[in-house]
Amino acid sequence: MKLTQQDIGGEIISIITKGMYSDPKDALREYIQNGIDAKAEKIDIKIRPDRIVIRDNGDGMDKVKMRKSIRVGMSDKNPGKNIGFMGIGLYSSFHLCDKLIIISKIDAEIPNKLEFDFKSMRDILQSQKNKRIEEDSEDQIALLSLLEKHIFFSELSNEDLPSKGTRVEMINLGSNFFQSLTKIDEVSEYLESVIPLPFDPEFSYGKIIEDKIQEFCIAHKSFYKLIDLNLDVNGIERQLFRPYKDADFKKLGPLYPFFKEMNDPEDGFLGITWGCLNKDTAVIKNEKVRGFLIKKNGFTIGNRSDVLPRFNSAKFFNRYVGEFIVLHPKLLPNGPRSDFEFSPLRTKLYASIESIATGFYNKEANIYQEEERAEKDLDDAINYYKEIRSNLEFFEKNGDKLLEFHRKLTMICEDFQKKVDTSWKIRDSRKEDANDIIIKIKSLIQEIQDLISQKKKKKTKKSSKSIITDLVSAPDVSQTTKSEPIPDDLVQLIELIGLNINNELKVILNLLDEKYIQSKAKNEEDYIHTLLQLRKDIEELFEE
Amino acid sequence: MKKKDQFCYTDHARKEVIRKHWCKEQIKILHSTLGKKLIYLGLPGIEGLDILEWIDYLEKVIVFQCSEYKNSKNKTEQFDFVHLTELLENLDKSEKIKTYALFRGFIEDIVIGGFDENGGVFDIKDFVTVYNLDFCNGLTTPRNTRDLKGNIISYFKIDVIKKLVQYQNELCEQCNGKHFIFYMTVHSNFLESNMDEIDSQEITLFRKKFKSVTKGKNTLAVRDLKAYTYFKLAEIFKENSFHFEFLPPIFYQGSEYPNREKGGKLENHWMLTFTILGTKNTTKNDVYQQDMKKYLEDKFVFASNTKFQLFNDAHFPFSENDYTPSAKELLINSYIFKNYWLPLNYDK
Repeated sequence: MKLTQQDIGGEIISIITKGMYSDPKDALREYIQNGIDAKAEKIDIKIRPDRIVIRDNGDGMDKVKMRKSIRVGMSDKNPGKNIGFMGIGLYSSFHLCDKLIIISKIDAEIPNKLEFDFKSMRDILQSQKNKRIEEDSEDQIALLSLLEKHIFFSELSNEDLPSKGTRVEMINLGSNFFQSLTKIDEVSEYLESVIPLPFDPEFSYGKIIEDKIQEFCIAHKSFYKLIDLNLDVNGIERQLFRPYKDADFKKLGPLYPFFKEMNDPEDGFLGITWGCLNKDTAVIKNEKVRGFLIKKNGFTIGNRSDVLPRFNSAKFFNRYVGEFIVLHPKLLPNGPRSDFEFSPLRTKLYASIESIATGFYNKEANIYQEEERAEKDLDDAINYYKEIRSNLEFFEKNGDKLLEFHRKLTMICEDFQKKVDTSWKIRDSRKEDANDIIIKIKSLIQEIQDLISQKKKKKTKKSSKSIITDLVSAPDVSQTTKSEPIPDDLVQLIELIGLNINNELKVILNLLDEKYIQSKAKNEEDYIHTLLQLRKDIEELFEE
Repeated sequence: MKKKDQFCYTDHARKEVIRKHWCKEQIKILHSTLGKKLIYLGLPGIEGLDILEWIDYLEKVIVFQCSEYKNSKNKTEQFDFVHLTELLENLDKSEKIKTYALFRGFIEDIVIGGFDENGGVFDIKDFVTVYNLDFCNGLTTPRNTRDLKGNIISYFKIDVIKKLVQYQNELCEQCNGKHFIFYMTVHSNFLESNMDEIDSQEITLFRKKFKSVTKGKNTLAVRDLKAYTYFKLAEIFKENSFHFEFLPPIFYQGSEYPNREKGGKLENHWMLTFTILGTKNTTKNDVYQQDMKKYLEDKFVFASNTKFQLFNDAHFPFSENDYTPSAKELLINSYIFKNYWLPLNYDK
């Protein structure tokens, strides 16, 4: 079937660009991509009251290349080596501005200029649309004719653009687009999240991550390039970086980054991933960088929330900042850069990401969390030991305190012993500390035990003679206990009755004795009397 | 693009002499002294003639362009703004300047209010090294506008200068900036009542000396303006810890303009251009104290269509100080230059 140029309507350019570039800032990304593909090292974006200028110092375009750049849906670029390859990005500002001017210069040649009158193109399309609605008109301009009439080429002099590279000017932006494009923070945030930028000097692991990525890329002969990007909104300049900073983490900062290759058994190297876990076992403070992004050659695909399901839960995802950098040449992004083009390889990529997310990142975060907890428990124990050690001298005559120390240390000691004996996640570097503290705590328990015993002995010695005399002259009690030994304390009393008690119970009985029996006794005699009465009551209880 | 039939107060022979043979000479010295290109802030007018004249020494320009007829059917100012935008854009494109900032509206509204008429936020992140505030009216002429409640409020040029010098002070450390030249041009019209604001015995004595015997209203007004400007700006520079030194002001006839009140009859205004050298005081000592009496008693520089000479005022019956009216001589013999700028890179 023979087709003519009338078979492709001009409206196609409006439909495609509207669908592909929903955010006006996407046009900035498209022109930056072209700059990177032209081997630019540096790109300046200048946002002025009536225009946006994107200037790169790349190779520039000669007349032939410029002519080719006008093409719609045709591109010379190698999808595996270049960022842009669809042949539509040049028209990304079709709905944004009235005029697009592209000036480009290659070394040793004068610059050339292309001018696109987008406003007139839009006006024609709109008026024909209106006519179709009102009069059932069949007038429709063909794409070729539309472009031919509104694209102008001219030669410039070297004075107009002295250095090589390309300058893109979007002139007379629609006021609604302009509002969002003049907010320096909003534009910076967008560019920092989508463009392959260097790491911020305020992120301490930036250089390490960058070196590692380059190392992987060299090893796998992969293309990955960063760009120096400066944003200038009406004279206020800002150099842009990847959005991660140490301050985004909580007070302890980031943990040394994890790295992992993304591989597929059949297709080989897919890319590399890095992730920095929060040292505090908590979510990343700055919610805008929380989690992972997928990047294709440095440009972001989709957004962070797209990666979250691969982790199964947000718990550990939100404690990381990181990226999955896809480098396989056959994995191509879709037009709006919201995902990769559907392919079996994409399925393999997502499987790989999922496996790394759950089997590596989640696992590492979990181990880290348990290690952190163990470390915290150990530090708490060490601190408690130190506190008691330093306070013991002051409390050695305070029975209540000694008992409290004894009880708590015993609990800690038993708890630690259990942890050490089982699968406690203490880091190797702290294992020695853990064993050491158990020994020290045990020794301290013994010391406290001795102090408690000495204290009781002293009490007993002090008034034993008078107590015995009194007891003999007290017929009601002495008759009952005449042939029985007199207990020193509650524990001895229970033992005299013949009941078996373990160490824990002894501690409890000592506590009860100190707090509720000794403290209520008027004197030693009264105390012994109470014990004897208690013995009588217990024996009666058992007789019943 | 230039509309020849349009009145342009910056485009006449005296202005050109001042731009080329006064300011440019001094800017060249500052550029050489600092060893780098300068940051300009000013009101260049739609033709940007000062910027074009000094372009070899400028790195960045911060520009204000008013659009008085924004809401009327007259599209002149809209045209002016586009014209100035194109001019600046071409300078940027041809790499003559690194970047620029263009604010639309009256400088008083933008600097004090914080926004221009396009909704752009006014902010400065650069230490300005050349100010050229070429006002087309008097220093004390108020700019009336309404606040958010609809009340009429008045801004004065002195408020603008104060704010700009405050920015300058805040940016010294961050931008590693110290030295600057400040040019300001105003109408020589001046109401005597403004002098009530001036609390200076020295100025009062100076005025008493000649007030009763001086012939001619303008003779007195221009000297009052000189004293008033010195007093007001000195306060601002001192408050912000800048050493400052006023060079003798240039007295000249401005462009012919159509006086609306007189049915469009063409008239001339007498103008005064002030030159102030500034340097950040980085010590705990007081800022340099210029001999005000001498400054007030120095003759004016007079700019003709071709040259500068001393202004010998026939209406002023007192002898004033003579000196060589050379922009370069005055600058390199100044206290500021000798004591603060000279140890830098200046190549004689």
